Amino acid sequence: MWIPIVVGLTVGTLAFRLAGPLIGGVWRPGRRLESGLAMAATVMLAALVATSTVDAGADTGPSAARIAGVVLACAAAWRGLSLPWLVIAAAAVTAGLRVLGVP
Amino acid sequence: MFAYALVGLSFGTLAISAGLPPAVPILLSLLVFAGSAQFAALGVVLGGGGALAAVAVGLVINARLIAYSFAVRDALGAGSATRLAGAHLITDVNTALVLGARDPERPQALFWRAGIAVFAVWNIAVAAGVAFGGRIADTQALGLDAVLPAILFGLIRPALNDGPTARACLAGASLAVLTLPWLPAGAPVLLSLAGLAVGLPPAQR
Repeated sequence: MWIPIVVGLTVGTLAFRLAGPLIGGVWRPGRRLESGLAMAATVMLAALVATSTVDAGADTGPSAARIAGVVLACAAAWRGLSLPWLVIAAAAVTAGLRVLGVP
Repeated sequence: MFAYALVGLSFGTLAISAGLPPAVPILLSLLVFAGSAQFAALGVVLGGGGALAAVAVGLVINARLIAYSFAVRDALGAGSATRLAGAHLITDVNTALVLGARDPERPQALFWRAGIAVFAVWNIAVAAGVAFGGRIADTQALGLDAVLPAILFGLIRPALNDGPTARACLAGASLAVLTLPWLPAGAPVLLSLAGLAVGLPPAQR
């Protein structure tokens, strides 16, 4: 299943990146489209944050430790914690809770 | 750059510990070269989604590159081979640098220098993560399953300072979680785009 994913993402992404150099002389995206595309990307990533926190897949399933780790780390990031520390905090809280027996 | 290296290292590690063949994260990083879309595709597949859903989600996230490619068009350089290579190096980072550049001579140098640096750091970090990921026996004990959502949140955190964007994210993410048990895997994340209705201004303006 990974071959179609690699090919599909490669071709589509290259087409996006070539749009400006190829047709920039005749057409330009308006501000409304520009902000719409940026917001669409952010909304979809936000949805993935939520769904991958609740359900990380068949092997892992729902996990109270993971949900607590992600929620706490993201709350800290909301208050200004930087990305590297956010990642470390999420993993550390989750791992720590599992040591304490939280599933 | 440190953040890029850490995110790349995590991508390689998570992909391998999720059971992907080593070539997949390495090829994605070289050919797609877009961290958030790579993580998103991995997240969709880990959540049980199919190839179509993974590609659709990744491409929606990368569609912002269309706008970037118009913005940096004049900074790519001359000659079709140079422009093709330059286009592949378009990222959030060098687009922001070009848009922020004052001196008209500088954009091209800024764009290429940042593009090459990010490409090198990203791909080396992912390859290191791939090498490292194979040595981890118990990803659950290390809490690695919390890393993917945490990184994605870190990537969108700056954008959430915009009120309408934050409201659209809240609506879209809620919709995705509520429909998660009922829809086929991958579909709830695509459905989250309905959250845009909350964030985008009405058409007449």
